[in-house]
Amino acid sequence: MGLFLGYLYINAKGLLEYKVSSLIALFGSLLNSAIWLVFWWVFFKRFPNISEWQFVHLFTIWAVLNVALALVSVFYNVYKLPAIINEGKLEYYLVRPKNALFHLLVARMQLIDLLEAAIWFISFIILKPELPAILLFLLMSVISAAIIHGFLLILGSLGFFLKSADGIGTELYNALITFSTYPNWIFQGAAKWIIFTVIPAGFISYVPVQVIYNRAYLWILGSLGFGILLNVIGCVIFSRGLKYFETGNTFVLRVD
Amino acid sequence: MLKSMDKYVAAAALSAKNYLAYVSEMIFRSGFLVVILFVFVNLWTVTYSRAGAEIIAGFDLRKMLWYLVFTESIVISRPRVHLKVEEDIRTGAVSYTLARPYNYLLFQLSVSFGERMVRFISTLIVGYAVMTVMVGPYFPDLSILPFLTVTVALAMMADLIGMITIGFLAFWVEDVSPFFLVYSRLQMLLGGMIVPITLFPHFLRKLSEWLPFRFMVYAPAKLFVNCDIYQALSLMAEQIILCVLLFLIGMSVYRMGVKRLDVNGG
Repeated sequence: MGLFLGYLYINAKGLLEYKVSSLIALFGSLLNSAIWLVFWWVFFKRFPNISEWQFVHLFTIWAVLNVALALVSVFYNVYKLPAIINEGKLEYYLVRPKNALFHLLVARMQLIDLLEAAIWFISFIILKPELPAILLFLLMSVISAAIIHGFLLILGSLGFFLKSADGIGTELYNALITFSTYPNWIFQGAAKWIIFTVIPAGFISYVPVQVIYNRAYLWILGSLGFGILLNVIGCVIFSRGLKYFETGNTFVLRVD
Repeated sequence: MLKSMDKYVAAAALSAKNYLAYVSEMIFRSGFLVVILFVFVNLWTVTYSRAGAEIIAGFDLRKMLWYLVFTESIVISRPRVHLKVEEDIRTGAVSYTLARPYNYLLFQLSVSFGERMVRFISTLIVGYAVMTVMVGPYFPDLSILPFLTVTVALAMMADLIGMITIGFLAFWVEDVSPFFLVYSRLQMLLGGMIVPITLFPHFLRKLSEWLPFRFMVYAPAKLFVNCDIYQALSLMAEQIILCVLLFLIGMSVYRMGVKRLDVNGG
């Protein structure tokens, strides 16, 4: 916990140092989401009876996804895992008397994303000012964050075994995020299974809507279990990878 | 006049030739395009089916999907020329170009245009292959191809001039990315990249018609699926006027910027 708080303090100081570029990144992310939400607003205005979903449901999956991504950003190095492994930056964490995986995950945080999460959270409260819905929203955001984190941890840990893990991981992560921003009912046949297995976007889009709007509480357990499973698998692959790992003689200057 | 354009044509050709070396790598890295097309096929197939409509916003299902292949190819092929211009200004490299016998804007346009053509064709090949597998092949009318080529080239030029002009803002600000972000996102929605502008409600459609973005994305993609030579001719005329206008705006911004250029050391 001390390690986490220490890095939280350092990263918060870094955020204040580069506040303009952080705010620009925040603005960009919000603008991108806003454009897509306008698209969905147009879509549901044109096809109001296309499904039982309405614009509010789409807004909810975007809000859950963005809050979840902000929470994952607290462990920002999970995105950089293949690069850390392949570019000789892992050794720094291995020689410290701390859990190497936890240490490297918390070493870099993108805290500006938490401000974005707050904006999405407040927007959701305005949209649906009901306490149970707000609490379920928070719960599903945390579970979605666990799923995304576990997914990234598995893909990143493959960097121990595959040189191309970075490229494959990026493609699969992009697929996860893209699928997560569309309603599940557009997917037919095999795609319906894919979004609940290989690319678990269904847990980030369909499940939160079911839980928040239809009170399908059983899905909470399913989602939570899947999130835990992904993270456990990720940790196992990482520890297996560490045994397989051979250090090089690359000289790396660490300035953060 | 034509002779003075030779150097720009040569720069564009050289840039295209350089970029040809990366085509195979780019094709293999087209995962995002495959995913987004897969999603679009699912979304619009379900939408047409559930809405019970043959035609939506002037497009049948196949045309809608092929329209989206084309818009995605146009937008994804965009090089980051605004960042190159920003870097030239920030590092002072732009000062070396002042003495060279070329127009900086036209030179950057040529280089980025050469690169973009190669990227566009390779992206379109991937998109075409993916969509052919998903919904079957599409063969546009051969008579429209020359017009389509010119229209796409003009659309890209207008877009690149817009991007270079955004890069020129680096004479005043440290980072031009927020400006590009607004530009690209407006183009994404109001240019008709994710959905044809004919689907918009009245006020959004009016807004789109007032802005130049539809000439860069929507219009060439619509021509791809609705082969109409008369439409192509009027579109080309509008695009040429747009390119000239954007060029004049870009040059005005550049001249204002160069006047306040202050380079230290060397």
